[in-house]
Amino acid sequence: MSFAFVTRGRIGFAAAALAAVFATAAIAQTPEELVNQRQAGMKELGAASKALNTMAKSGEINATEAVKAANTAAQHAKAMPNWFAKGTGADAGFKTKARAEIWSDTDAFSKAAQQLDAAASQISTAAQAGDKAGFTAGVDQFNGSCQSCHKAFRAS
Amino acid sequence: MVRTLSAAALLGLLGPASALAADPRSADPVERGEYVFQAGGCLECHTDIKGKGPELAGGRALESPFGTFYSPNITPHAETGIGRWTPEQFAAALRHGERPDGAAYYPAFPYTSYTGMTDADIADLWAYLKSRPAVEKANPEHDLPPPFAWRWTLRVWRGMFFEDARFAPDPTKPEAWNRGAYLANVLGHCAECHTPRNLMGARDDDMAYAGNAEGPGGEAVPNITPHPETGIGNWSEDDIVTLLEMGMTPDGDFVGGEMALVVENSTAKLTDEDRRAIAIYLKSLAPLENAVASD
Repeated sequence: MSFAFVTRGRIGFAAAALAAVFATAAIAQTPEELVNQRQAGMKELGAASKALNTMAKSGEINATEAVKAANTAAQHAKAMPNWFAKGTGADAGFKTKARAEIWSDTDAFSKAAQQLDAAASQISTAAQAGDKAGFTAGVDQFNGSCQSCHKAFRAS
Repeated sequence: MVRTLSAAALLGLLGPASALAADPRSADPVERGEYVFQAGGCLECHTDIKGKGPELAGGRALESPFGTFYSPNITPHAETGIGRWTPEQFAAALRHGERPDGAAYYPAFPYTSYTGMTDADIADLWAYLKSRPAVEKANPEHDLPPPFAWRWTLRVWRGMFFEDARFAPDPTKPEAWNRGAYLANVLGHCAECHTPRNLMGARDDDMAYAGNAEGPGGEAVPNITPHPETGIGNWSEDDIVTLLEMGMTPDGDFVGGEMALVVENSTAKLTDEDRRAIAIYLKSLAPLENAVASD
C-alpha cells in the first residue's frame, strides 16, 4: 500500500518535472516571438479557411487539399492558448486586435480553440470518407468557431 | 420531466421557423417592422448582449472618447421604456434627435442617420417595437465628464452639425444603388462607425466611409471606400456580399468585435438583394486614402 503511494508519488513528480520542462520551453519564446508566430499562424488559418470555404461553396472537394487545410487548423487550434500567453496583449504595448477578454475569460477562450480543433477533425474525417454533407457541416462548424471567437475576443 | 422534454422538443421545432428572416414585403406591419429593426441594427445597441441583459431593455455601455454612454430601454414598458410614447414622439426621436420631453439626444444615438427614414419604415418599426415584451428596467445615467455631461449643449451641437433631411433617391441612379444608399446611409447607419469624427464628435463627411481609428470602445474601424491600398478597392461585389452574409473577408478571415455583432444581428438577416444593393453602393463611392490601424 505504501509502495503504491511512493510509486504514484514518483510518477506525479516525474509528470510535474516534465510539465515544468514544457512550461520552460513555452516561456523560452519571447512575447514578441509569440505575437509574430500567432499573426503568421492566423494568416495561415485564413488561407485554410478560404480553401475550405471555396470547396464547400463549389461542392468540389479535393480531399488532399481539405485534409491539409484541416491539419493546419487543428495544429493552430492546439497552439492558440500558448500564442496568447499572458503579456502579449495591447496592455503590454503590442499593436494587436486581441481583446483583454482573452486573459479575463480564459476558459471561454480555450473552449473556442477546442471547437476549432473539433471542426477540423470533422472536416478531415469527412473529406477522407468522401462525405460531402459531413464536409459542409464541418466547414459550417469551422466558420462558426471563427465567428464566435472573433466576436468575443478580437476587435473588428 | 416528460412535460419539460416535450416543451424542449416544441422549442426545438419552433426554433428554425422563428429563425427565418423577416420578409420586408410582408403584408404584416409587425413583420416589415422587424426587417427595418434588423436593417437598422437596433438590437446591438439597445440590448446589453455582453451582460446577457433582457432584449431591448438597454444598458449596453458604449465607450467613446467623450465618456461612456448607456443605451436606453426601448421596450413598451410604460415607466422605464417607450410605452407611453406617441408615434409622433417616436418619429421625432428618429428624425430630429428629440426626446419626448424636448431635450436632445447625444449623437451616440445615430438619429443623424435615421433622420433619412421613410414614413413607412418608421410606422412599421413602431409597430414591431410595440409588439415586443415590456421589460421593467430603469435607464442608467451616462458616465460623461463636463462639458459633455451638459445636455443643453446638444441643442447647439444639433444646430451646428445636424442636417434634418429625409432620404432623397437619386433618379439618375439605378434602383439597387438607391436602395443600397438608403440601407447604408440611413437604416444601417454604417457611416456612423466607418467615418472619422471631429473634436466635437461630429462625423467628418468629407471622409465618409474612410474608416475611424477611434471607433466604439477605442477600436479601429476600417476604411470601406474602394481605395485599393487603404480601403476595400480590391474586393468584388460578391466579396462584400459574403462579408455581410457571414462575416468572412476575401482572404478567409472573419470579422470580430462590433462588426461580428452587426453581421449576426443585422446584415446576415437582410435579403440577398439588399446585401447586394449595399455592395453596389459601397463600390460606387469615391476611393479615399486613409490608412486605419489594423492587425
